[in-house]
Amino acid sequence: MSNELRIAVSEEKGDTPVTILYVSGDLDSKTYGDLETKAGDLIAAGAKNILLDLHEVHFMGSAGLRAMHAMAGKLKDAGGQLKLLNPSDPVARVLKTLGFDKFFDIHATRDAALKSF
Amino acid sequence: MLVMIGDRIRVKAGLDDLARVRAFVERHAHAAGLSQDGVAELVLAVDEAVSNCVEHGLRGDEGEIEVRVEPQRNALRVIIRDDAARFDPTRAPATHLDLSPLDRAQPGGFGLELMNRLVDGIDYRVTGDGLNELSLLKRQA
Repeated sequence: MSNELRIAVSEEKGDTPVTILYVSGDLDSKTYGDLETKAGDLIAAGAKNILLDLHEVHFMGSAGLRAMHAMAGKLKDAGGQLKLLNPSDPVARVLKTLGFDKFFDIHATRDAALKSF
Repeated sequence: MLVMIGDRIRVKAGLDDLARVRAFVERHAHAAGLSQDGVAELVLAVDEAVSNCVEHGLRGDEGEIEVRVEPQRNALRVIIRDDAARFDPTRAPATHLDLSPLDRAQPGGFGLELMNRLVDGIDYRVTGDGLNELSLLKRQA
């Protein structure tokens, strides 16, 4: 019933380093703060480009969008970018219903996403 | 605290029971014959309504929220009651999702907009005993 939010992190080295956050479980108004905090810590430690892998998010409410919105703002201020990888149906539903699918850079594959930074 | 009696579920006004409310609505929405998308949309709308009660109305763990389902002809109605300060989400100012929402200084404000766009009808009233009552209607297909 309840799918705890889990966040795993990996670093992609290269000309443009990218931090990948693998998010799974439920991203709702109870858990979105965990994502904001994790991303905030990574940005404070120097991460400029973040790719959010969202294919295993089982539920997302507007709070998830709030977290992404805040992350995008912080990364922009740091001279970097937030991009999204393979949103699950629940994530895509929120993005599309509110028209955010037009404003986020969304990729279907990891390779395409990493090349785009 | 969680009380589930047939067509209704009562939860404490915290965020811990959101997943249970979603599971409750999902089960009844399937039983009412809503499509896969319809079920997901209604679950999401109810989650936004209940989250809004907790975050902006009841604050903290005081109070209780009741979510009740009423199957109707070709539709399901979900009725949410809480004893927070009076708040009519159908009269909340519209969120302007203009050209570049990512540039907006203030994140948030998306929940009520999302709720409005996902259901076929929304009604708000104050009950005889002074509770907020929000009713969300979702039709089959």
